[in-house]
Amino acid sequence: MDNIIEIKDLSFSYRDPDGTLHPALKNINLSFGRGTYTAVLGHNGSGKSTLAKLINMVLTREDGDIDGTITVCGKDVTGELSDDEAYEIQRRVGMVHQNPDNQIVATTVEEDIAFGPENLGMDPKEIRRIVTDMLKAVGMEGHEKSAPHRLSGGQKQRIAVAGVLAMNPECIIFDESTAMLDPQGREAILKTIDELHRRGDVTIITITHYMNEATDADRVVVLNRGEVFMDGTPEEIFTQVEKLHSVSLDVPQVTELFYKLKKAGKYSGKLPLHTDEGAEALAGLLKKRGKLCPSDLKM
Amino acid sequence: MSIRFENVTYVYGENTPFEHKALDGLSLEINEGEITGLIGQTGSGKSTIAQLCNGLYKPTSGTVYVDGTDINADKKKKKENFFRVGLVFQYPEYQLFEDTVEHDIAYGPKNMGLDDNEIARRVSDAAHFVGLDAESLSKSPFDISGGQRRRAAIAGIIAMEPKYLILDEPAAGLDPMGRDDILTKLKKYQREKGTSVIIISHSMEDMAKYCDRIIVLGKNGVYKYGTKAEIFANPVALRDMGLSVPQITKMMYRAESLGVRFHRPLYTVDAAFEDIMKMLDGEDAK
Repeated sequence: MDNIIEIKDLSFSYRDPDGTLHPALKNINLSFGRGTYTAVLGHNGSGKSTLAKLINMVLTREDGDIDGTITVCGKDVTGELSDDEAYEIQRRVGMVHQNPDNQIVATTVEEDIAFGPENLGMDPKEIRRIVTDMLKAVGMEGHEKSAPHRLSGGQKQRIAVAGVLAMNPECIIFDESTAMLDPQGREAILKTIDELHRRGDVTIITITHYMNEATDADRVVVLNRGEVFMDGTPEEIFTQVEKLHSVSLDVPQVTELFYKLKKAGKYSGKLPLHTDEGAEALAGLLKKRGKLCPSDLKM
Repeated sequence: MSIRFENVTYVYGENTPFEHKALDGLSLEINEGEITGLIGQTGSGKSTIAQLCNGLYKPTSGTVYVDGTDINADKKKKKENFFRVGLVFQYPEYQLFEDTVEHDIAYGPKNMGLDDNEIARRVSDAAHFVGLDAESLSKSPFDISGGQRRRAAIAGIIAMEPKYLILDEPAAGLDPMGRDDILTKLKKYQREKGTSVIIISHSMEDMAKYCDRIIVLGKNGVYKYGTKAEIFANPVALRDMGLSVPQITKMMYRAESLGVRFHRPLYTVDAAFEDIMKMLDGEDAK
């Protein structure tokens, strides 16, 4: 598969003004195929955000010592790049941050989304089309003239996503983009991510502390103390409950329940990750023991 | 004794083009001696309520009573209330500023005009409650981890020994173990000290696990104030308000549609495990 991002033997240490080094990433080897959807998990300080910031060139050699290479769209972003090349990388790899209030620049939604394309010197007619299309892509059509500060957190985040999409990126990194949202806002962003993923042309990397969100990805990468600790499908990762607990992480509630039932010797099937799977497994379990009797619903 | 809002309206930027009514005639009462969860969609006024409780904001109209006193009646009452109701903001670790963690925690008690011995006792108690050891107390707030900084900031408010402790998203941005750790400590603190703790959160799972009672804020004020069972009994209404129920509760409702019968609503993994074990062992047969 064609990789949009290839990380080889990457180590990174933050450098204090006095020269002291703080290691953040150690010997990372990871690649991200085009069109894939990966969730990156890890405890606070595990290096998740550092990794994202290096890919997106928010962190450079000015901020610390870099060993190894990060090849993004064929270019090593840890090397010397011209300003034009750097802008081009940041256009191709967009980022949506945690706080919706920190990434909206204009006083109306359409101006905000048009901000990037305008800077690229695009034709106004083309910009108009992009604004309309991008709002549609994030389910916010009709909000062109809205004032961003009047929108809810989830709506603001979707505007931020639309702004990134307007640059026609090949990859979007969501850095804890749902952390400050209410359940509905979170659901809206996850739905947007899911739709982008289904379109197939955008590579998605999400960094999150919510295990439920990671179950929707194709692949889960777990970082621990700056190193890759686990890498697999959500099924492969979340069924290793004890291993995740050992690095301060968790599993979805449904998985945890069946893990407990398994430990108690009551369940032997595969651990479910999703609500529906869990409900079906539970019904199956009770049926097998003759405890499920739809004709005798009242006990 | 309680915190009571009587017909409280709060308008941001009154008489400016940005005028925005955050609360409109809100009445509510929060019981003493419990952990109360405050949930509601973004923009429902949760953080505004928190700041009205400790007098940072003054109602545009209506009255906020704490233990029966109108906290905005005069300056003296306002100041007393400021120490009675402790408020921990979202991401409070960004507000640490002293040279050591210890000095930061001592800042509040010092402002209360307490003597040095009392300040020292309170700093040590508060540090103990949030799990900061002597070594981290002597460090600069910038040399400890993010999770520790969060705990230091919470300790700074706890050290004022407020009767009511309000925390706005105390676990936001922490990893799962960090979340559990801070919330478990708050629960232990509440149980040992009898302080009333009010937690604002978007995590239904955390609310279900740690709170005694929950207030749901809707668009038109308080939708419901009740036990977890009462609150999570109506997932459709919560959904309409932009909220949700814990994943385990969703699973329970789904299983019910497949013919599984539960004895009580389930909103934590532990309760679900306990009940399902009973069902499997047949102790439920009557």
